Amino acid sequence: MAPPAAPDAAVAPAVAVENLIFDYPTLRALHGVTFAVEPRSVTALVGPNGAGKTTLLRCMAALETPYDGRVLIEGRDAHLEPRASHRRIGYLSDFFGLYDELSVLRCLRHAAAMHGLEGAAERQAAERAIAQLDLGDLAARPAGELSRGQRQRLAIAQAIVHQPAIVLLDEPASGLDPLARHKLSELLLGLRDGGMTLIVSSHILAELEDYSSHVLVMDRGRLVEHRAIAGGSESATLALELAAPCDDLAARLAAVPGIEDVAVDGLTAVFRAPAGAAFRHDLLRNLIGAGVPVASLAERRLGLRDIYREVARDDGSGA
Amino acid sequence: MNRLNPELRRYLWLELSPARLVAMPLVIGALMLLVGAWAFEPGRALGGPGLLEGLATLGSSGFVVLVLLWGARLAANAVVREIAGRTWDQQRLSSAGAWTMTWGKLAGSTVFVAYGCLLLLLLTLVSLVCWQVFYGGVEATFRAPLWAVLVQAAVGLIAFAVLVEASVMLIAMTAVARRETGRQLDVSIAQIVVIVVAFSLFSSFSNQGGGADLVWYGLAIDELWFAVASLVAFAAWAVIGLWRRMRVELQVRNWPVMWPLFVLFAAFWAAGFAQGQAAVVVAAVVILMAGYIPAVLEQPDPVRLRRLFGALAQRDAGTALRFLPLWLVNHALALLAVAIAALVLLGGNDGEGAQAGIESIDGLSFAAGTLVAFYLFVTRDLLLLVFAALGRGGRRAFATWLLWMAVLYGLVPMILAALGLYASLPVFVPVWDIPFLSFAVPPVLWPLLQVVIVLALIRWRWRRFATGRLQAP
Repeated sequence: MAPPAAPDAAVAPAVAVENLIFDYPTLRALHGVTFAVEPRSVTALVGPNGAGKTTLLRCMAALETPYDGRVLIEGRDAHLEPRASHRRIGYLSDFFGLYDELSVLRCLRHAAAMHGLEGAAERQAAERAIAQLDLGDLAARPAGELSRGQRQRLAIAQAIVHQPAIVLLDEPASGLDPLARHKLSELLLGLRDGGMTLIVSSHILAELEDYSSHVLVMDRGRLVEHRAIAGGSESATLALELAAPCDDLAARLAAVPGIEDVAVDGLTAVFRAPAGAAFRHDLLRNLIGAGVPVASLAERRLGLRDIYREVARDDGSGA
Repeated sequence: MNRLNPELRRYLWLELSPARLVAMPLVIGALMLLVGAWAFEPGRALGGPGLLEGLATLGSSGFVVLVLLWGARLAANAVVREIAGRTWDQQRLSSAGAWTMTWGKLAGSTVFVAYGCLLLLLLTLVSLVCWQVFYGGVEATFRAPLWAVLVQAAVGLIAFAVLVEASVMLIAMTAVARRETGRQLDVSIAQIVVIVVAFSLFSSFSNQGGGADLVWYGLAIDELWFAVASLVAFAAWAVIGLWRRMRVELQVRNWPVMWPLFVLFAAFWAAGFAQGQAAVVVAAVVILMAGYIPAVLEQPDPVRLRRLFGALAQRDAGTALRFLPLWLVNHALALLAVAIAALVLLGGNDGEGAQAGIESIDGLSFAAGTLVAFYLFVTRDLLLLVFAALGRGGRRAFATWLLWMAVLYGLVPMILAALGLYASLPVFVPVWDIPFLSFAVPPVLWPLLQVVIVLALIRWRWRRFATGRLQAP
């Protein structure tokens, strides 16, 4: 299992979570969770039910006080300065949190005002959010009269109306139809391209795959994986196929410096190795030179679902 | 800054529709017509003075009823409705400060009632002025100048409204934040408690009419002015309490400072009505009894206690102070107050104490011992609440504890009295004037024994919450 990915040393993390512990009376929901999130990334937060995803998001949003540990939002301790942190955070809860009696425009004006925007700035922020979320036709309608998809768009608009640097979304696609989910993906990519850092908790892995650059896997209150999903990584997953069985293949591969996590299944071996064609070239040459009946060697690009399955298998939870 | 508090503006959008703005004066107008018909009814014929006095009474009593029955309910529901509607997290995630949220919510949630109260206050003041100008009725009735009556009415009623609405919002917010169930019950209990307390405070000063004096720390003070000043002071404390509670909700760190200051103020206020040694005893009892309020409202929280114990084990005073429950802070303060009061009592009778009724006890040392026993009984009660909160039905802890209190302070003494076992009453309740199972046993022994037993029970129940025994999700 790969260790939690460290952020690029040259880039200050947008969010840094350090040894976060959260307790319920007889239950430890988070066990010393530590990770850092790069700016302008989209991180998928996945894990089975009860893994601690929502608790983690609520601690990051300074809605809950952890038993121990810190959450740094752009270097600022969220629990020492919660109100200042909230200026930089947008949070979409799984319940949306809308005032049903207020119109869409007033919901957004109120949210903007609660973040300190006033006068023309308040109105402009509300109108910008309406345009971003395509809510123009609904601006005068009470929130209570909107469909679930429309309410979800309004809730996202409310979360980003003050243009936060970091947006935390808890199950944003829950209950949406396929078209609405596609639009949500486009929207989140647009927010990322606009400079926001997003952390998205969801059960729907296929949809997360469309826009996530990193994945955080939680299980039973622990962080079990944090890695980039594709591109930019210094290591790769390689698949080696043999033409005939080779008894000591696993040992041979494990002995090569840089190779780790070797798994052999019949004529196929999968392992992690340094990225790059030069390493693959040297490896092929050495294996063939040693008489290993190699049929092919190729990089296997792991998707979010592969990572999740791999982690679940390693963990033995099968989740 | 916004010209208008955003939270207040939200309530203005929701609460003040044109139809409601018209309805309120129409209802008040109809009530005024009723008073007019009553004053000029043939046979009664009270005429102009009766009409104006009736309208002033309608205005002031209508104000009080509106605040108690409607304003208090709206204030209590302000946060409860936010939690039920899942909007409270959005409020907590805003960057609005605690003070902005406090006064925006307090003024906003009750804005429609405030509109009605403003109309009723105007009716009261105008009626009083007319009654005095045309008939000289105010100064004759209240034995005070018109300006004094107007100031007392206006300031007293407004302070009363702020006190009731801020207190009920504070109680409801604290209770609801602690528990997931029984929200409407919490609202109703908060409303009833504040109505009873506020009404008794409001009415206790108005028995003798204007001009009567009361003695406070030896000073003769006009009763109505004292009542108005007390209402203003307690209303200010209620708003401060609400602000502190809002800080907690918004995850801003609070140090346990304001509650002890409030309790000291309340003790100082109450002690002024007693003399000599009795004043010290009254202050100690007020501080001691005040501990029930944060204990019941916040209720002992195992996670918070675990954090406190952890910080103490690591000698981390800053974290320990952050997680110190208010009831524990209060109880430490009460220990100091009771110790001082006991020492004062042991110092001998100053003559004032005899006047205050202590002469009926078999000696001041016995009174001091009983005071310490009283402290230990309260300690037992608070520890029983901790014990109940650590049980598997933690959310029903308060109801369970209330039942235990009813048994300990009600049922058991009644049974003992019915059996004629008066001498054993001090085993279960702090009593001043019953000789105690012969003086061979000090009065503190029985409650001390109970404290030790409850502590042992808590230790037994705590095993489930110890850090090493926490379960994985």
